[in-house]
Amino acid sequence: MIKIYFYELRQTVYSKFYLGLLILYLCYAWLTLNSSIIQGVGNTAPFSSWSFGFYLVQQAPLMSLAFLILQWRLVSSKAKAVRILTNATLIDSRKYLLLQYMAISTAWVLLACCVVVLGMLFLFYLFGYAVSLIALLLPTLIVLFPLLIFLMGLFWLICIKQTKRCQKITRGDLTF
Amino acid sequence: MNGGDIVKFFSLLRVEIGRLLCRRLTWWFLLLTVASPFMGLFFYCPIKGSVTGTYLGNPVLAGALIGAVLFALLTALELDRIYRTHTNLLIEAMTTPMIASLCKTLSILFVVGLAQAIMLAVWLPFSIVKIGAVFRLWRYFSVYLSVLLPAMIFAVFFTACVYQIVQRLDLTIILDGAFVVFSMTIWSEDWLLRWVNPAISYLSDDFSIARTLQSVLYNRLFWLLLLSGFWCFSFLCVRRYGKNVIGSFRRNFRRLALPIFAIIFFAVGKVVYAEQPFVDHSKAELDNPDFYNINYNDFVTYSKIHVDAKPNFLTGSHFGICTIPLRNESGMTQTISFWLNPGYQVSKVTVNKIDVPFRSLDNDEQNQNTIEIDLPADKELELVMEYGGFPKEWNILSTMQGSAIQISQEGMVLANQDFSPIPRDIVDGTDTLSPFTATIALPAKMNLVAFGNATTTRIDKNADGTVNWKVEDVGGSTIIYAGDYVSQSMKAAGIQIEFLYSEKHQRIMEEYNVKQVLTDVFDYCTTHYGALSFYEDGKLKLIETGNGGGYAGNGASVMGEDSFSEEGFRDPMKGTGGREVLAHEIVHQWWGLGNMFDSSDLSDPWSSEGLTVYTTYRMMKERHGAAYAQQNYIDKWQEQVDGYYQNFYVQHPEFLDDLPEKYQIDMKNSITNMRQYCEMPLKIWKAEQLVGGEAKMDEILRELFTREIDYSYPYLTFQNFLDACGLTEEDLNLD
Repeated sequence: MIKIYFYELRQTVYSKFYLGLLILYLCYAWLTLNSSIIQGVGNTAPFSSWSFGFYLVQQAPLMSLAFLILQWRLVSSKAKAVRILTNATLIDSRKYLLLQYMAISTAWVLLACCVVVLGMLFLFYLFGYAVSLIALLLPTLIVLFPLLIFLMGLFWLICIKQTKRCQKITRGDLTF
Repeated sequence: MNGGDIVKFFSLLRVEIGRLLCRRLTWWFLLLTVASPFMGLFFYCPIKGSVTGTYLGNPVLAGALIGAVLFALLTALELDRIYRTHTNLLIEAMTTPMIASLCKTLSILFVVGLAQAIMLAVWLPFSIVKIGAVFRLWRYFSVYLSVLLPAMIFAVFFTACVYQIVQRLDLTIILDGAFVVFSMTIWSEDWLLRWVNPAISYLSDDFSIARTLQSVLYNRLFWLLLLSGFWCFSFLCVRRYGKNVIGSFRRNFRRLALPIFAIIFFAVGKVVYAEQPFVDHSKAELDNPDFYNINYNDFVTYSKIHVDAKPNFLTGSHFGICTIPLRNESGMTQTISFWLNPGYQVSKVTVNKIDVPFRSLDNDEQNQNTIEIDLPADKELELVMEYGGFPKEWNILSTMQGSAIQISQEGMVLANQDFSPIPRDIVDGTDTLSPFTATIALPAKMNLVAFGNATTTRIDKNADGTVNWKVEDVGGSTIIYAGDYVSQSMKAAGIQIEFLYSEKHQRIMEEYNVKQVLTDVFDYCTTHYGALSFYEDGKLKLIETGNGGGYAGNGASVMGEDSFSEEGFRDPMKGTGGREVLAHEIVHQWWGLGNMFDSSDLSDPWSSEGLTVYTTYRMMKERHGAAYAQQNYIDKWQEQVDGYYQNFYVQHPEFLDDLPEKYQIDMKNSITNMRQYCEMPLKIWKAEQLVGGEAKMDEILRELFTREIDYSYPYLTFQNFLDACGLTEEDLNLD
């Protein structure tokens, strides 16, 4: 199972699409840092929890979009076609779907980590020891964790619905 | 190639285009390119001040940059694909590598065309809505097609050339990047080399942009020739028979057409670069003593100048016949000289209807070239000079072309030596200033306006529909503007004011009741601070022109159209509502033009804005009462200033000092507006309380306004203001 999980993770992360997405998001994050965060938000320091939280909130809509784009692989027409084959294998289709889903979620977390690390490096480079790591980790958890839970929940519902539909197709209960 | 080869070539091209359009990657690149103008609305905004610049110019410039980068990348990936997948052997079995490469490049150019067509369709509704009343369809197409499309084509050409020579993806991408970066950095001062970011500093809403577009098209012609030459050359390096670059070059060189075309394109490109007709070759030194130390001719004087002007509104060139009665008191032959725009050639000079020798010294300086003429020994002479050509702009304005000269169907601006020869070393022989007259034929829709005291009169209509105008001025030269001007006259503070502005602005001007606002401002400012020095015989002409900034003199004042933009009227920093912003802009006639401010440090809080905003506040207080002024001015300034003083970097300046210089400048710039428009007026208001009230402050400002100007440094400084108030900088601290 772990082998399959890492295989799926590698397949997602080692793709041109993921690399392009990463570059795009880092560029956007860089622009946000350079334009609004550097000035400090609400008259607080650029390295305050408030400013860093604002930075992450600015990234949130695009990050959500990235999650949906990455997870879309699981419900795309290609995936549906492949699922007919994987459903025929010994592996439990639900478990396999969950593995795929977790692997892609991990890829998204890695993407989010890159954005967080970029923000931290930017602030450490400019303000050095004045920056408190804890002050930055707190908004990271407050912003990204609920976002991840919400997105995972939302997409898991979509996946379940799609899987049931696929199983019906495999059994011949439903036709397109 | 014979007929069969051509058919085969087009068949291959069709297949290649089909294949390219079937790739998802192509559509991704196409989609990103179509979306790229969006970046010009928020992130890449080099043009400021006009609606056309903001919603057409900036998106197009951003699209050109991003589109060029994307298509360079797509070209590199596509050209490399057959080598990456080792399918080159199969393709070479079908056709020659040259034809294959040509097909690939042309198919990518087809996609470029497709992207451009989609972009034009997608962004059209947005441009129509945002640009509003001043939107013109031909401008929309011409800006897109002259800026964005060529940038993408050049990117494809350059990438194809580089790849055909080096045949390495990584090196091609690096050189592409360098090509873009060069255009943005080290070539940025050379308008002809800026291939991806052409030099467009401003796009007028109301007046002509033809000259700017002409210079952009010329830039495109130069690059097209250069890259065509490079493309032909690169075909010589296309690998053949498994040979390396040198072996392939030797083999391909047998096709003599390629090197011959390459040489022709390079040579024509070099001529196009060297002989560009848009900017002159003026010396960089601005205070060259030779230019100002003129040995005036003691014997020759002139008594009148008449110009028969014939501008060509299609080509942007200008021709004229200048007739000048001269008196030569020496009884000997004399040599006199005139200044003329360096773009004009003198074709013929006659004196008393006899041809006389003349020469152009080609000594361009401050956009003037000297023409020397040998006069006969006769006493009474009538000099007739025929001149004309495509006027050149001063080279220090090479990246801001269109700001000083315009000749097009939409309007015209010709000043001094751009309009007619200016006597250089001969003086006026009359007791008063000699008359300067001109006749000029303009399209029927245009009205003629002249700077200063000059008058313009419509004479008659020609058979071709054009209208003859007469200009009457005095002195050695004149400045004229033509466009869809409408005139509005009013009397204020005992001055007869004529306001001339573009018809396209008529709705806005009427909506904001410009007549009333002008009257109010002139009444208020003349009463409180004094009359403007450039009133002449109780008259003043206010002229709207296409570019920002302004100048004044001899009974006229020129204001850039950006002072009257609808977007500007919504700027809360300048006033509450359009009428107050309009009043603010007119107050600049006193603070900004009547009294100038040193603008060398753009982040200096002391600028013309402080006193202008304060004066607008005082006017509104008088008109609407103290409560209104307090709520809409003082409280707003205070709110902004409070926010500023709570700013992290203001509270902890040590962090600002530690930031890299780029960030420090950005930070200062981001608060400059607030400091100029809010902090400084608040300080002036505080000064008003400290000096004893409004009447005392009016007295101080009147003294400052009417003070004797030191022309070596004519600016009104903050120290002048503090001295006049008897205060120190610390007294005005707002903490």
